[in-house]
Amino acid sequence: MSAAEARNRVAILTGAYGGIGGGILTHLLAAGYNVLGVDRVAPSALSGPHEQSVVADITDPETPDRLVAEAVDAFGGLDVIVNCAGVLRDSRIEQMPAADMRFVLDVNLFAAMRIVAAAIPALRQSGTGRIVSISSRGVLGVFGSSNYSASKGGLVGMTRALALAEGGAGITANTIAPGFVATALSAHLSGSNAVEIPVGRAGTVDDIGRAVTFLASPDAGYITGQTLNVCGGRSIQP
Amino acid sequence: MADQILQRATRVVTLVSRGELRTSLMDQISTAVQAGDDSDRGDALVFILGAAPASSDSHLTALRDGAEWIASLLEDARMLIQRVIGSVDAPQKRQNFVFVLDGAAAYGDADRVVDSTSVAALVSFARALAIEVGRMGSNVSTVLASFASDAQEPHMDAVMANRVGELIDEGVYANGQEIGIGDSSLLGRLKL
Repeated sequence: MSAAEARNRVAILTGAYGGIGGGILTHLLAAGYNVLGVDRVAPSALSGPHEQSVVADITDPETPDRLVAEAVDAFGGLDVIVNCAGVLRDSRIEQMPAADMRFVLDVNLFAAMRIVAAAIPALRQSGTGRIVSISSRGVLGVFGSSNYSASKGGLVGMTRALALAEGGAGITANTIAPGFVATALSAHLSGSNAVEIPVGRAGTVDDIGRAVTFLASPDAGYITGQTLNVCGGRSIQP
Repeated sequence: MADQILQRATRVVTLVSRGELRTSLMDQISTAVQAGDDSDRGDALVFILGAAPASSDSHLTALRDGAEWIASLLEDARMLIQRVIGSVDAPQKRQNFVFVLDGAAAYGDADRVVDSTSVAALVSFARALAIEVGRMGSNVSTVLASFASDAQEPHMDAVMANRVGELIDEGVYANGQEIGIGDSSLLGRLKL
């Protein structure tokens, strides 16, 4: 048994204390993971010894190396990166300020690129390293959200390249593209969105948490470079 | 490679390139654009993206350093589109936007992680833009081409250039779509 197999699997989860992040955190912990939760604010409480939290600005280029070091120090290794932190700054392209384009790219895409770069040496040592990035159905285009769509599309491109580059090291890279999920981030969207979804309901953070936990597991080792649309069928709807 | 402003009768076509591109491709696109329809079909912006400047042999270093390049591309696109499209409140004529991107990078390239990321970002950006400007009668199309096959396929540049010329004239029939142009090297690859 390798050192990685002898301990619980270890995950770094960004955006851990937001809506979707909270769902992912719950399911990773339930599956026996040690999780380093990263967010801009500390959680009100930790679930127990398998969870540690870090308050950090993930857009700071110094942050990724610190996160990897803290995860390895706390839990003895690193197996999974979940890039979940995300922001919206919607406006039509005619009115979109440069700062809003940049901020969304910084949080949603560039931070993920740097975190993955910092984590890959440790993921290689795992032997079953996993990179799961939360993209969005928005890669297909969303009105007034071209910055967000670009950031989430970029995650898909990065993931494909990483899947090809790191597959030989046992690392898989995949994205999950949620559709409409009822969270604070989506609260501004129309409630009628739910009835237009083929399965007849809005998504939940548990829907996303279960999908992430599967792709993070050693059992998902033959799935890489893929985007899993968890959208209730919305992405195939006319 | 300098950006070009092409005046065609009542139309202005802005031709912008970023990254490393073959001169022959730019020349052929420029020629095709100027040979198109001169009727008043609105101004156009053609954004052509070549390879990112080589920074490192390591994809890990490229990931750490690639943000500024990608940010500059999207900022340029945002700024140029705002310049072409004008105020949202102003009466406008139709506008045509065409992105020309590297299909091989878009579908994933282990040696070009920054190109894979930037091209996929621009594809999704173009799709979102298409939904917005489509409501105003304008259109956005993307040509996803195989950039690598210049020596083996001497007509590839011409095919790409002709599609660009068609799309700035008739792009309303391809709004929000990616038009694939490539040799067999792109066959069997999962599309975005």
